[in-house]
Amino acid sequence: MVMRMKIIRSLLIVSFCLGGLLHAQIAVVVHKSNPVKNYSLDELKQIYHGDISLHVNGRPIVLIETQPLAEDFYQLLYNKSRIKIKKYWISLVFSGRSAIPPTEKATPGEVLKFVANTPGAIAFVSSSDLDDRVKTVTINNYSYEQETYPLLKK
Amino acid sequence: MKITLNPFSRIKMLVLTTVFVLSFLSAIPFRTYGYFDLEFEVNNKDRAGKIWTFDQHHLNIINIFSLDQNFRLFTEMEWEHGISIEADGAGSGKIYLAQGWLEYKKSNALRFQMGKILVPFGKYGLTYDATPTFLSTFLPNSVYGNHENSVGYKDRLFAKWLTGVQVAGLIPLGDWATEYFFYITNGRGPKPSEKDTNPNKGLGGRIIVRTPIDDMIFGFSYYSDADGNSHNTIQTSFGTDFEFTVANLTFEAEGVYKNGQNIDTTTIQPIDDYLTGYGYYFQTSYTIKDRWTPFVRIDQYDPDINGKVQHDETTTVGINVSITPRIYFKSEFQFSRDADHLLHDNDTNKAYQSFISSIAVAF
Repeated sequence: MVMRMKIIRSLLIVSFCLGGLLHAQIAVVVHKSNPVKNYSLDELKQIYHGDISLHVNGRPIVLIETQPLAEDFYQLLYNKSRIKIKKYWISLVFSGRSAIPPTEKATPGEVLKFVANTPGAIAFVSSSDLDDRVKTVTINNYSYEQETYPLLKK
Repeated sequence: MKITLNPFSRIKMLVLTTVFVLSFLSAIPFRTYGYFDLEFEVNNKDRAGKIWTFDQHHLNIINIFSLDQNFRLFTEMEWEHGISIEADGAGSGKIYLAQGWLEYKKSNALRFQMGKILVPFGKYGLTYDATPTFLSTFLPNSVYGNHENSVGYKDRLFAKWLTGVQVAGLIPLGDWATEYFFYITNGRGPKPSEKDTNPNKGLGGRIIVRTPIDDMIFGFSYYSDADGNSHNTIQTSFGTDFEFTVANLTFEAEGVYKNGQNIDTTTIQPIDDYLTGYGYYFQTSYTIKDRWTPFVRIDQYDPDINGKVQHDETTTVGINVSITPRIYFKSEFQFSRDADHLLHDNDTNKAYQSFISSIAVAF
């Protein structure tokens, strides 16, 4: 009886620890031909802020976003709402800065299709929607499956 | 019926036609953006037309043509005050090229721009008329206004547009980032985008420093050119600005100091000072649920610090409501005081109040 209780308690602790990883996480994806394998969190912040607008190979970056995941993504990345980021981009465009604002896609399927067909594209999708048409990049050298992934949803 | 256009109207028609043809028929990839606003104002200044009025102030269309990976063409046409032009050139409102420049982008840190640019002076120099990008209906009058000075003509503390070349870039330095702009241009004059008859050029620069502390930004600006059309003066302006946001509370401040000097037109060396002025403001705002942003601003402007009584101050209390991220409703009260009644010579009141509301749309 005591042994059984210990097993149940252990299982509960393990499942509690893994709980955060079991639900879908935010994965950052690029075109398969893109040589990049990893972005630092600072690089990703600069990319979605328009501070970096070219890939390392000189190709212009094409940013994609989708709802409702964008709300979580911007909160995790900047601790800011999507509305604030939208306003920021409006100022950026009107002031003549050279970055192009994120294009909004309606569904994860549209995001993946667009990234698969656009060599300069960068997007974020739920890990549960991933397929092999796109390439997933690590953030700070951590994959979305790891507990230390910087964009881990709590 | 034969319609004849004067040369000015023909040029405008040509510009418009060119932009639209380029926009709609070109195979070159392009993006179109723009902004629109409608203002309502009532005040007790007793100035004609300002008792109770609407103003369809801006309708600006921005077209950005991506010529290839490194080159792009940026154009902004402004239809101002509900433009209406008759065949004989009569009408109301204005239409003009607010910006038109070609950019070569070597990297994020190095961009070259050539053409007519908005002057990157101050926090809002690059979004001067883009009302969706700032809280109040009008930019702080102390720094961005077109003032009547004590010498007797209207001018700004720095130029709004200039034609020439600019180098700009953004350099991330660890957690910091620095953005810079340096330009050499015609400066102001009777035909600033066509012919510069002034011996000195419009020179300037701006440096923006973003600190590792979230949303703490410093800016430093410099501008110098001939003042007005007389060729015998030089104007130099220094500006600094600051913005800090903690949680939903934002504080911003900006100040500009301008010095005008008479110069020897042969040697282009200063002889003496003729006008020294300044403008500054402080603004605090608090955003509730990303939508409601009440704000308070205090503006101070003195066109000539040697003239002790010429002093304009305005307190603005208002609210900016973000209906969507692209549509804003603004409402504000302005309490203005013109100490010596010199800055608004058409007004009967030295102290007056205004209520201003507007809707601004970004698209």
